[in-house]
Amino acid sequence: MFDVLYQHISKKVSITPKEWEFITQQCIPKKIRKKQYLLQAGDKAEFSIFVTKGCLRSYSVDVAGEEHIVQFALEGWWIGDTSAFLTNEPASFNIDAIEDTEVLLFESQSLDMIFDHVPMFERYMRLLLQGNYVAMHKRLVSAISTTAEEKYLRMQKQYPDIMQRVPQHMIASYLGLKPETLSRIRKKLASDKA
Amino acid sequence: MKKTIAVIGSSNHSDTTIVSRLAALGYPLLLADQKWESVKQCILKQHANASVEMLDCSHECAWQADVILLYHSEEYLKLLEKIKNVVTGKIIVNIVSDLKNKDVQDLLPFSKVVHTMADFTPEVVSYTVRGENNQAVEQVLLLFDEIGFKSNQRNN
Repeated sequence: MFDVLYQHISKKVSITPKEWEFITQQCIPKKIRKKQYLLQAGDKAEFSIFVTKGCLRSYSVDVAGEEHIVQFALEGWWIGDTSAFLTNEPASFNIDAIEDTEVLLFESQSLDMIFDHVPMFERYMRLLLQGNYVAMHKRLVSAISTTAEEKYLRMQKQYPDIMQRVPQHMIASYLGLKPETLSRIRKKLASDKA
Repeated sequence: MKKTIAVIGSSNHSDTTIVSRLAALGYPLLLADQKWESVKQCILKQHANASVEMLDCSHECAWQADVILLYHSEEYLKLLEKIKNVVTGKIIVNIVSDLKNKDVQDLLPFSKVVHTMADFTPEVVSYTVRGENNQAVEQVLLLFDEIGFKSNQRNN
């Protein structure tokens, strides 16, 4: 349950066994089933979420009831409504499980305690945020300056695991495409290959 | 979003009041013992849309839950050992008849244990609550208030 987090932290910073023990005492283990919510828009975003098994997605729903997927999170990924979590405002996003999923939940208070007791964890978080900023920037550039086909190919290259595990209509939503557009692109790419 | 509540431990007639009222208000319930089967059927008869599920495994129930209602049975020490590694940071509502009982918090040092004392029948008008974590105590008071129980005694 905790191994995935330990490995993730250890890849970026080094912590002592005592510090690791302290971290495990601050996080809430939770198992959720496919389609179950961890957060609903309008609620308080109480947690920052680390996925140890399974797959989550965060998304907003527009006035027409259409879902817009913002992020997927597989094992070893962090997810949450960061803006709502940091500002204490109601959540803008829903987070639910695409597969049966196991997570570790961190309350804001718990993270502060970890930052106080484990200075390297703060560095770990900074590195995560930097990575997150770069990824978001690349996604923004891709969204405004590349074709639908290029977006799809980029995603295929960057996130092959997600492509394998997530239904196509969700991939389309993440890329900002209609499912039929994605289907057309896939057909074209398949015929180009043949 | 309603918190998922696991119900762990033994069942007797008075227990059903809390569980039934939580189900009526739409709290998803996970029942960890076959002894609760009749309670489940009774709830579903009264509230067809209630989310009540029997998992037959206290560890699994506690893992999936946000809040754990712990009813004391003879084997509750074994139960605590079973759920220990999946209840860190979670609220454990320890429903007891004697508030001197402190071993639950000692055995689950990283959970937020809140002791509540009363015979929770529909007739009960008040109960006593105690816990080391004030936020957790407040949340339990709110939850019990929502299902119609008022606390008139609070011991920290």
